[in-house]
Amino acid sequence: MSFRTWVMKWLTTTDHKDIGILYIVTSIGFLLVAGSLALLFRVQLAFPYSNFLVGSEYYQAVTVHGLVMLLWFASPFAIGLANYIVPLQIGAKDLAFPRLNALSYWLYLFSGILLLLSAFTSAGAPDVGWTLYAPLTARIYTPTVGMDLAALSIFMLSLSITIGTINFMVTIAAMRAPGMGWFKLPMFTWSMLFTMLLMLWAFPPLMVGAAVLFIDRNLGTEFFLNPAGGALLWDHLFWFFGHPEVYILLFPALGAMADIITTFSRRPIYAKKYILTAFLIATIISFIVWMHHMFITGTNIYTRLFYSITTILISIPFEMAVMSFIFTLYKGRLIYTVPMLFAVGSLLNFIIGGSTGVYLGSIAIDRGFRGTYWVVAHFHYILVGTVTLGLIAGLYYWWPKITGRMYSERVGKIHFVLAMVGVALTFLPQFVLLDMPRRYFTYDVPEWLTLNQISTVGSFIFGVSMLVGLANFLLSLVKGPPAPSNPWNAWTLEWFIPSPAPKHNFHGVPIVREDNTVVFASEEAIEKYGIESIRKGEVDIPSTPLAGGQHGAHASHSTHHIATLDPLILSTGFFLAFAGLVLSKPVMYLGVIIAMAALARWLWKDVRNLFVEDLPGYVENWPFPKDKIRSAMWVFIASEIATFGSIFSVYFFIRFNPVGKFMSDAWPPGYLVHDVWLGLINTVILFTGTLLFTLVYLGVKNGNEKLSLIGLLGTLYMAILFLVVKYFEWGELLAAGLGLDAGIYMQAYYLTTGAHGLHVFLGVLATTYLLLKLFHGTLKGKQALSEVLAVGIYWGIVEMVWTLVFPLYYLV
Amino acid sequence: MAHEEKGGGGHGGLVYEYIYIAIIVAVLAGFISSLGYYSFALNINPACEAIKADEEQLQEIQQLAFSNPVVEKAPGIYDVYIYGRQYVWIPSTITLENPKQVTFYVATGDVIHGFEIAGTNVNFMVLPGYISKFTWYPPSDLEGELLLLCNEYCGVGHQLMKASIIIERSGEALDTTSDSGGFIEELISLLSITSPTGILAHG
Repeated sequence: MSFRTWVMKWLTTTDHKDIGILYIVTSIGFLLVAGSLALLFRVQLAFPYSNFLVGSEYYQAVTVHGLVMLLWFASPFAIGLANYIVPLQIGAKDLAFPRLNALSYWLYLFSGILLLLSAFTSAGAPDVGWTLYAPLTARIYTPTVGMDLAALSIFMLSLSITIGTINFMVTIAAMRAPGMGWFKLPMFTWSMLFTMLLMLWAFPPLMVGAAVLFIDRNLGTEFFLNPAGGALLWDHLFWFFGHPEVYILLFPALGAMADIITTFSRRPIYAKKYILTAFLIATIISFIVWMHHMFITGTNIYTRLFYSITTILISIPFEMAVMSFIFTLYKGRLIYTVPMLFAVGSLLNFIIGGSTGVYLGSIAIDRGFRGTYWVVAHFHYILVGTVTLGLIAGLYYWWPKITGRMYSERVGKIHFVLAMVGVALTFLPQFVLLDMPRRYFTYDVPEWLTLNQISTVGSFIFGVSMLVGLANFLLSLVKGPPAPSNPWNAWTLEWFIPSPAPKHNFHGVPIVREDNTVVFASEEAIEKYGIESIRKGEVDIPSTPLAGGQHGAHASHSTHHIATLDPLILSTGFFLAFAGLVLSKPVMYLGVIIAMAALARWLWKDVRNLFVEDLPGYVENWPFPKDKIRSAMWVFIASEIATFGSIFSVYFFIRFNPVGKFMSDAWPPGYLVHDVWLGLINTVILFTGTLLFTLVYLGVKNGNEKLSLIGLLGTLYMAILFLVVKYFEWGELLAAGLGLDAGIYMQAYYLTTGAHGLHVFLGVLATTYLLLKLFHGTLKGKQALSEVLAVGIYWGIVEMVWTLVFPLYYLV
Repeated sequence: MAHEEKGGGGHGGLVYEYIYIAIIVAVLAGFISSLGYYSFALNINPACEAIKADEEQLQEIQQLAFSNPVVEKAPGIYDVYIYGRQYVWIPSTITLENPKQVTFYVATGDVIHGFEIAGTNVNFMVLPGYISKFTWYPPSDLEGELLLLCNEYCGVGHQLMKASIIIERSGEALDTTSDSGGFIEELISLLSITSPTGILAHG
């Protein structure tokens, strides 16, 4: 392959395996950046009187370290592993939406570049701490443009992650191989499913927070600045994201550890049903513990006590996970390969790190520890000791599958020892430093000096261990011995195919029979016997033999592997638009044009139905039979509920919090400020439009093109009318002097109706797309029906949100 | 594909799990009830309150911090008014004589600050738009100069933001009897960081 072809392959790929590799490589890049920053500020802390890294630069290093490690290294690394492995583990050919998968990756990459770009602005990167507490992040206290870039990069990353969430959830639900029941899924896939569930509802509040922070800084709103609780509002929004975020980071590592520990103990996971239930309960409870990050804010003590109880309760599921791992190891025939060493090491670190966290759940104890190095040691023990080492364990474990080569066990063991020693030396002294406050670049307490220096030495040892690991991987790529398809004798589905995984994943259709054996059925066998009888074992067919080389017999199911530059160009457009928004207006216009062109090009391919693909007809019937587009839209709706939920929470908080009641002098009732009739008219317009959309569904279902046309034109007309009415309404309000500077009640109004209007506009685009399809003659068949249903569901949520907006803003 | 292992014993082979879960639940029930006991009965967790305040009330705190920060309402019972802003605490020195109960009223002029008296359990956030009220019961043998520092990153001068709290004890007024005496109090004071004689105290 020529160099140019090789580059184009990586730029245009939508294959989950390639994208997985892209994610892993990119996240390791971010790891090196953030890790180097950590080494720099650890040097400063070892020599507190030096001027090595002081003042704003120190805080920039700390902030960027935190943000990049959490958002641009840890989760994306897990997503990369998941991208490669999850479809293989469930028996799918690819993810549900390959082009969206590529879009997720490129948005992620460019959002990271956007953040790092801030370090090159004249005032540098944001220096406010990764928690971005308001009002320090307001423009008057942090005027730097780097802060705006950071907010936009977080917004962009949230988009990337939401798209990825939808992709994975639909894949795991709808694209499993026949016979692969929910319970048979391996632990890694299950834990990725829980991670995706958490991400779905955790990232929208962060996205809304970042967006509101941006408009606070640039449009003069006062959501986070207003003295009646603005700081607390950010606290709530951020930590509502922040707490599930830690489980988003943890679950993939636990899943990888589970797969590894079971393989190398030669035993299945102990009490799988219980541990899955435990994880599900943890997922649910994780949304009601966030206030333990706010224990010393002085809010209502009974509220805080409730959160203290839920925090202590959430330790139960993780204790069950630890128990399950230990009992899997117990009486197993343990084989200590490098992945197993890392997995057991992570488990040990999890016990240490996790138990130190339980103390923080008590308000009384938290009072002493909060803001000190105990907290830092606790979360780093888990993030570095469990999550990072667990993900490295996963990388080592699946390395033969991904690259087709083995690594050096000896170098791997050196990596392991150095890593464990590094983690212990770095963070155990920090537990003893439980009196030292966080975010200080200098101190003059002599007792802390030795401990800090030990910690710094430990951090360098850990850095060396990372380099050793990288060397191991690079060496393996260059001269590692070729790996067999199942070097570990494991029993999950990904080990039944050659290493590295062939382009089409499986040779034949993997069918999991009732006795838990797997056959790869060829097309002819399926036609002859039918999937059900093969699955029940009524017919014993030979597996399609694994071809000696990938270039052998072609796959039984033809796979369209789409190669397209659209995701890359669309992400570039977004990047230029966001960067230009704060740095240079011409660049912003360029970005917008590029993004719109890329989107148009992408959707035009869909108008022509280039990528119609029937779901393979063997998906279980629940929740949405054989319809991934509709399933995807429902998952998207769940995230929209979280998004608008956050926006409404902002409204409730700033209305209710200052005075403790809903009706007050500070907030004039809606009917005095807004034209109720105009609002009512808009409500009727939107409602009519949504109703008219049902005509589209009927038309497509029955092949009645005229009906579809009427429905589409009707909805389009109503939606555009809604926007026009809204335009005039805003115009009137602005003319009456009720702009953004009129008070927080107007700012809340513009925020909410602006966000809703944006969604109406996107609905207009979607309806236009369907209209184009109609004119092009491709609005027929199952695919079209799914798309119509999906857009109809979308209009439904837009309508429902408006029915909440209207009374809350116009009537009370 | 792996199938579930069934161990020996009753309850469908899950005896050990049930025993383990029972142990965990018992331990956690102990933790949670001890939480309640310490918090309410032993007053180990003096409640910190953030009181919503408007501009006037915040100005009042600021004035008091400048003019008359330390008010002794009764022997040993103090009200202290402190105003924090980037990057100072006003007043920067607070002297207390034989304090038994000190109520801090703290306000911030700009961003979120953290109020911590090192080596004690006084640690709370000061939020814009709120007055943080915290009642502290200093141990009767605590004396000398204590460091008051800012605990929540507030900008480039964060590490400079400190003040001193000086506690003077005179012999006769020393109250050696504690309110709720006994073994548990001693144990807590030995293990906790609230007392300078505790194991983990620094300095």
